[in-house]
Amino acid sequence: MNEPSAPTPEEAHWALVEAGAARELLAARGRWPQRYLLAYASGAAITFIAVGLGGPIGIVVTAAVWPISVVVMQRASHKRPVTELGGRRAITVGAAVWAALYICGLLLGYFAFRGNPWYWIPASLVVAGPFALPLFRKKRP
Amino acid sequence: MNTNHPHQNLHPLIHAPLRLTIMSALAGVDSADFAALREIVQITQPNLSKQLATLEAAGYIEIIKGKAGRRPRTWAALTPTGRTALNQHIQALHEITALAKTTIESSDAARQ
Repeated sequence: MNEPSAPTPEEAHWALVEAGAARELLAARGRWPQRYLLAYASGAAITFIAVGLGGPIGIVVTAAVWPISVVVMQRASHKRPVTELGGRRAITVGAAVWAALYICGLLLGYFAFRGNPWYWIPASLVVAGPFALPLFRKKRP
Repeated sequence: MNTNHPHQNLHPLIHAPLRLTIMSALAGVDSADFAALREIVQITQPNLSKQLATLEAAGYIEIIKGKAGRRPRTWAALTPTGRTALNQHIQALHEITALAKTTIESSDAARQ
């Protein structure tokens, strides 16, 4: 392909303006992962407390409701036409770290702090953390 | 002394305004489907397909075919090569505008 002719400074300026506008317009349509992660964080905290303090009923309800919620949210996320930069990664990393913390937190709570709200409530915030942390990440310029 | 004018760092393929708009739009997202991209770029579907095919052939974007529910859908995403090329192109455009400012300031100073 031939080397492009040199744009005038004015043409270069307007090309930059239009490029910036296009980027911002499409990115604005993809800002759903924040709401999605907030829903996941809330659900993760509630289910953790329900398992730890809700007794057998809490465990049964959580076992029934949480997997269904995850499947529904996953399917909904795949239908989204646009995803903001880093959105998929935030969800994948959040889910992986959450799973590890959830299992460790459950085992520790079950064997050492059964029925103790002073463990289960603060620990639920730690377990939900991987989903909530990307909400506070700094936006790219 | 570097005598290269910044326009030498412009990428011929991205220099076309339409392709620059497409690449820039994709730079702010993980992926976008055809319909969303078409709304932003405001061109016909055949034209968008043609531009995307050109960018895909150059390795600047990736076309991902899938389904949203039962409906087939096509997404486009910038590749790392495409992102690097776009950043270089944008940098060259910034340098061109900066060079013009410097030239104007120098000639103003010389006049005074």
